Amino acid sequence: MAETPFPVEDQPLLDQQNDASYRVCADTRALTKRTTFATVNGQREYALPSDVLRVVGVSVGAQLYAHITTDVALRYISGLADVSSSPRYYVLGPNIGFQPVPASVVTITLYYEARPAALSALGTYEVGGDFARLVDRRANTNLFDDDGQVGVAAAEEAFYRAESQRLMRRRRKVGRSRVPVIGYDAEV
Amino acid sequence: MTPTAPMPFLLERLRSSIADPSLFDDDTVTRFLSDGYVAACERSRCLRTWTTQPLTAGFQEYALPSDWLETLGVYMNGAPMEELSTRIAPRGDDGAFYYSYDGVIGLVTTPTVSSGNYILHYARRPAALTQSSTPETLFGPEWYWLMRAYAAWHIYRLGYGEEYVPEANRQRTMFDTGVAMLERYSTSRDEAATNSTPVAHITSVPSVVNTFA
Repeated sequence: MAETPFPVEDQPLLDQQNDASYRVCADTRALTKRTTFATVNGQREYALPSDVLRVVGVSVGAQLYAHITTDVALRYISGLADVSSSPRYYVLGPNIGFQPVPASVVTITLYYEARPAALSALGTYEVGGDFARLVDRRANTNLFDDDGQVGVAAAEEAFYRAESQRLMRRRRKVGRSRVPVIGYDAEV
Repeated sequence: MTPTAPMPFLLERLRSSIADPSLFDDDTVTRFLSDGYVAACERSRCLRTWTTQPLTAGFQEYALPSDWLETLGVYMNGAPMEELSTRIAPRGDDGAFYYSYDGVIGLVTTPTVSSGNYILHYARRPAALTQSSTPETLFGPEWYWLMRAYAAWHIYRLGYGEEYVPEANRQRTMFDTGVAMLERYSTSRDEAATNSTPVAHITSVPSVVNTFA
């Protein structure tokens, strides 16, 4: 017997898939993107692209910039003498900043975990495989919730939590298997 | 086809499920959603920024920004200042101390010259949302479900009978769990503990540099 199509119109389904896509990418860190921008002489902070979830690396050519915490950055901003000549970066709110303050135009390459672009058609996710399947399940969870099927929604919610954590662990395992970089990774 | 704007989308989700128009009009549901947004931002302290305040000779106290929610740190002359409790502050200890209450930050040692400044690192309070507004970028679309959970919690609590108390509690638990996730995300976003480089020379800097001479 042929399955009855799920009775949801296109626009509400697109909205649910869009919502699910954002959530899955944030919960599993499925997307990593790269962009470049140029620094300006004397300008310390720059607005991050609007799709940045978390900055994972900054480089200029082959030179990797080290990360400093906001506490260290604010010490420098408030007048701490900088005895290091190596450029570093920090993230504070919607901005990325550099220490020392750039004195010239430099093209920065930014690597970051990203939120996906808004969907323009059903099912056109930026992620594939297990991640795409999880987007579909997440959208279904929302639909069950909105349909008042709270028991099914709760069971789907539990599945989502477990599956997103499994995918996140898989991403972390891949991340740890890379070669540490001397002078960049704190543990080296 | 383009996705519906966030507030109409969330409103429609609640309308199609639990927000009966005879019990809750659009303004009320919008207020629930906005309250969820403000509560999530305030509890997670996800909106973080810093500002510089110039010092003025003879002025001990400076007004906090109007959107101030919580002080995360105060810095002067390259070092963090230490907060004194309201009870101890009037003692006038000498050094880089500050106190904060009643909408002001007070420097325990009053500046004697109009030079220099301090830096205030703080969590911001967001503006309430209307049906046509959009949450701030730092509260991205991946967190909008928190607003839905908060609104659903209140709708079940106020508009439904006792048999729906477990569902109201489930929505509240989802909101609480999500806010804890948002707080962890916001902290790790700024602090990125995975690859931060230790700054050895920081420890050799004097903890207090006196500019009040």
